[in-house]
Amino acid sequence: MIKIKNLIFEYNANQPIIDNISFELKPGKIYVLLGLNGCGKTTLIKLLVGLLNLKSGTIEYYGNPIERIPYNERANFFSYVSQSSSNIYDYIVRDYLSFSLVGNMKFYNHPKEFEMKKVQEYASKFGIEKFLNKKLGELSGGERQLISICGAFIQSSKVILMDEPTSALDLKNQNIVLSKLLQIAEEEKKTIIFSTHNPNHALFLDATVFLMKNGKIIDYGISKKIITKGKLSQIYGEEICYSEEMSYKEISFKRKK
Amino acid sequence: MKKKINTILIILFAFLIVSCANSGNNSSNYSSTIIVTDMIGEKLEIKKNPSKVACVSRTTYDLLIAFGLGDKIDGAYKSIYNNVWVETIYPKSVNEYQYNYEEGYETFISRNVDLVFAPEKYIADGLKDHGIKALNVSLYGNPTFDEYVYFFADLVTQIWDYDYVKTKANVWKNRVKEAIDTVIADTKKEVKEKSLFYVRGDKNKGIGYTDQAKAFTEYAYRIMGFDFVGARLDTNTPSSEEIVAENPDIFVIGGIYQNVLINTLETTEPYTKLNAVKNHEIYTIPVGLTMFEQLSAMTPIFFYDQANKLFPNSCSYDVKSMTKSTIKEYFGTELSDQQIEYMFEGKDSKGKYLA
Amino acid sequence: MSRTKKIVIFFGLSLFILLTVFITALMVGRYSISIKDFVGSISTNDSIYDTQRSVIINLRLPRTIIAGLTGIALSVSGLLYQETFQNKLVSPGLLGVSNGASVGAAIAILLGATNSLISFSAFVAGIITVILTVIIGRLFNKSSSISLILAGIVIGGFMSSIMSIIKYTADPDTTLSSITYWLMGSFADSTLEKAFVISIIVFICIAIVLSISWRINIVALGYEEAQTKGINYRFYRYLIISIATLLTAASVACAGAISWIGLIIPHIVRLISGRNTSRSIPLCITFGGVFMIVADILSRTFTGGEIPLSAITGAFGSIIFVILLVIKKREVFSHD
Repeated sequence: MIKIKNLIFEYNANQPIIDNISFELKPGKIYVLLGLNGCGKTTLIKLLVGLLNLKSGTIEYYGNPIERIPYNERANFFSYVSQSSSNIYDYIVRDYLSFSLVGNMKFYNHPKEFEMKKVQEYASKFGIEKFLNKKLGELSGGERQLISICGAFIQSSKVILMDEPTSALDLKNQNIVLSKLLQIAEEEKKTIIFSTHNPNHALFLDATVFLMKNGKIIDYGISKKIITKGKLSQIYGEEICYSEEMSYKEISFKRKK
Repeated sequence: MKKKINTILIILFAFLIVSCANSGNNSSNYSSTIIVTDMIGEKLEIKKNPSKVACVSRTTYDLLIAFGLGDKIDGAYKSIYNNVWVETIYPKSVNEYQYNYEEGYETFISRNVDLVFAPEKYIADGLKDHGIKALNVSLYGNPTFDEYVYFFADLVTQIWDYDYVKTKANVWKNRVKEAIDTVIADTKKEVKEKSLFYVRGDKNKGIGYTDQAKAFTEYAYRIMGFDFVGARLDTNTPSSEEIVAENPDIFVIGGIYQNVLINTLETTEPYTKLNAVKNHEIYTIPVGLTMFEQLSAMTPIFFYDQANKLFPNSCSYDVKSMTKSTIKEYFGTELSDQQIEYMFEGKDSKGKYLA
Repeated sequence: MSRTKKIVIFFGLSLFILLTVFITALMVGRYSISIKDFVGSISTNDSIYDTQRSVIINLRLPRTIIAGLTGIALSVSGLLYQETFQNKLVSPGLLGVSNGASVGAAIAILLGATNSLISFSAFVAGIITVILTVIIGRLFNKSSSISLILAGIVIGGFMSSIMSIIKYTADPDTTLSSITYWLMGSFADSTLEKAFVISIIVFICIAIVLSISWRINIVALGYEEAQTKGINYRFYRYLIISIATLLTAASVACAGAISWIGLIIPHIVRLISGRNTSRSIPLCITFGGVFMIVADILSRTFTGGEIPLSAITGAFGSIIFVILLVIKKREVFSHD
C-alpha cells in the first residue's frame, strides 16, 4: 500500500511543480497518471522512487516513510522504468537483466546460477530469450523497452513505476509492450504506476486513472468513467472527440483476450 | 575629404618607410666597425670596442673580467650569480644586471646593450632578428673542442682593440698552453687509457649526467690520456645501467652538487659495485667563480689540479697558491688560505657546502 | 558460458605473459647479463655475481615492480573513471589529480626536498586537488557528472597555470631542470622502498575494486537506474572516485605523469571483454601491467639514456589501438 500525503515539490519558490497531492494506492492494481507534457507526471514518479528529495509532504510504502528505507531495501518496494536509457547500448542483454538483482546481493557477490535462472525465467515470460546474448544496442527501441520492463519485474519489487515507457515507440511496439505488461502484471499481481499522455493507454490497461494538470490531480477513477469527452476536455481542450465522431476511421490495436 | 585622408595616410606611410630604412642603415653609420666570425661560423658586423655587453653565455663572463674588461659587462646570465663565490671573488658583480636565459628583447634594447654573447644559435638568431648584435659563444665545439680552446680569447682581442686586453689574453693563452704541456710532459711514464666518467654536478640530475664529445672536458681529459666515457655515449644523460655496463676506472665530479653525488656513488647500489668506487677512484673539481672544468680564467689550474689528483705519483703542483695568486691577479681579491681550502673541498667562501 | 570461458582464457594467458614479461624485464637492459649469470646471481650467494645481482635487485627489480603496478593503477583508474562518468574519452587525469600531483612535486623540488619527500608531496597534492574538484563540482550541481568533469577541467587548468608560475620562478640550472625531468615521467628513480609503498596502496585499492567489480556496472548505469535498482549511488560513486584518485596519485608520485595508458588500455580490454566490469577489470590489471613493463623495457634498453615513457606509451598505445579498431570496427561503430 502506498500513501501520499500533502506532497509539494518546487525548484523555485512559489512555482510548485507538484502542488499538494494526496492519494492512496492499493496493491495489485494498475494505475495510470494521465496528463499533458509538463503537468508534473515525471516529477511525481521521481519523487515516488526517491530520485528527488522530499521537501514537503510524506510518501509511505507499506507504512515506511520512503526516506527511512535503506537503498538496498528500496529495491524490494519499488522498481523504475524510464522513458529510455541511453547508456546501456554496450551491455549484453543477459548481463543487463542481472543488474536488477543487485539490491538483494552482498556487495562482493557476482550473479550466480540462482540469479541467472531468474533472468532466464523472466526472459522467457517476456518472450525475449532470443535476445539474451545480444547487445542492447543491436535491438529496436521497442525491444529495448521490453527488456527494461522485464528488468523491473526481475527486481521482484511490490510496485513498478514507469515513466512514459511507450512514448518513444511506434504503434505496433506500443501494443506489444502494453500487452505484455498487462499479461504479466496480472499474473504476478503487481502494483503498476504508469504515466502516459495517451488516454487510450488507460483504457487499454483497464486501469485506475489519475488526471493531472498543473501539478494537481484534478480527477480520478476507473478508466471507463474518467476517459470521457467531458472530463478529458479539462486538460485536452474542447476539440477532443470520440473516434466515431470523426470523418475517418482511427486505427488502433485490439486487446488480446 | 577622402582625398585629404588618403594624402595624410600616404605621407605617414612614406615617413614610416623612410624611418625604417634609416634605422636599418644605422649599423654601417658607425665610424669604426669590425666584422667578426662567431663560434658557429656566422659573420657579423659590430661596433668596435663596445662599452656594454651582456654575457648570457656563461663561459664568457669570467674571461672578460680576467682580460680586464669587467667594466664593459652590463650583466650576465642570472644563475652565475647564485654562486656565493662570485660576490666574494668579484664584489663588483653585485651591480650587474642578471639576465634570464631567454631574456626579453626589450630588456637588451632598453639597457642599451651593444653586444650579447649568446649560448645557443636560436637565442642569437632571435636577438639578431630584432636588431640586437649577438655572437654565438658556446661551451661546445664542433666536432670537438680542440679548435676552440683559444677561440674566445682571440675573439675578444679582435673586438676590443686595446693593448692591455691583448697582453692579458696572451698571458692567459700561454698559461693554458704551458699547463697542458707541463702536465703531458710530467705524466709521460704513467699508464694511460684508463676510462674516466665525468659527472656534471652543476644540476642535480644524479650520476647519469655528463658531457659528450663536443665539450671542453672531453678535450681536457683526452689530452691528459684518458678514455672519456661520455664521448662514446649516445646521450649526455646515460641511465644507471649504462654506467654500470661501462664500469669506468675513474669518476670525476664537478659542480655545486659534487658532495651530494659522491655520497650517492658511495652509498647506493649498484654503484658501490663499480671498480672506481671500490678502488676509491672518485675525484672532485673545485668550484670558484665558475666551475674549474668550464673554460675560464682558472683553466690552467684545472689541468694542474686534475693532474695532481689523477697522477699523484708524478704530479704535485702547488695549485692552492696558484689559485690564490691567479684570483688576486685577475679579480683583485685576496682570498684567505682558509677560503682556498674551502674552494678545494667544494664549499662556499663561508665554509658551507655549495648544495 | 562461452563468454566467461573466453575471458578466463584471456586472463590466464595475459597473467602468464605478465609473469614472463616481468622476468624478462629483470634479465634485459643496457648492462647485459647472460642467462647463466642471471640464474647464478639469483640462485647463489656467490660474490662473483655481485654486480649482476646488484643491478637486478637495485635497479631492475624496483623499477619493474613500480612499472607493473603503475600500469595496473593507471589502467584500472582509467576504466573506473570511464565507467563512472559514462564517457569513453575520459582518462585518469580527469579530476585534476595529475596536474595537482605535478604541482606538489614541483613545490617539493623548489624547497629542495629529498626524492621520497617529493613523491609524498605529489601524492598528497594530487589527492587534495581532487577533493577541491569535488567540492567545486558540488557547488555547481550535486548529482550531475558534467558538473564534476567541468570542475575537473577548471581545477586542472588552474593547477597547470600554477605549474607555469613555479617553472618561471625556478632556477633554470638547478630546480627547473629537475622539475622538467620529473614531469616527463620516468622509472629511473625507483627504489625498493617506493615499490613497497606503492604496492600496499595498489593492492588494497585493487582488492576493493575486484570485490565490487560486478557492482561497478550498476554505478555505470547512472544515478537514476543505479539508485532505483537498489544501490546507494552517491556512496559508490565517491568510493570509486576515491580509489581511482588514490591509484593515479600513487602512480604519478612514483613515476611522474604518464599519458595515454589510462585511456587506451580500458578500450583495448573492452574490445575483448565487452562492457561488463566484472570481466574488464581483471583484464585491465594484466594488460596494464604487461603494457607498462614492456614500455619500460623499451625506454631503457635501446639507448644509453632513457626514452621518455609517455613517448613510448603514446606511440605504441595508439598503434595497437588503431589496429584493434580496424579489426573490430563493426562492433565499435555499429550503433552510434
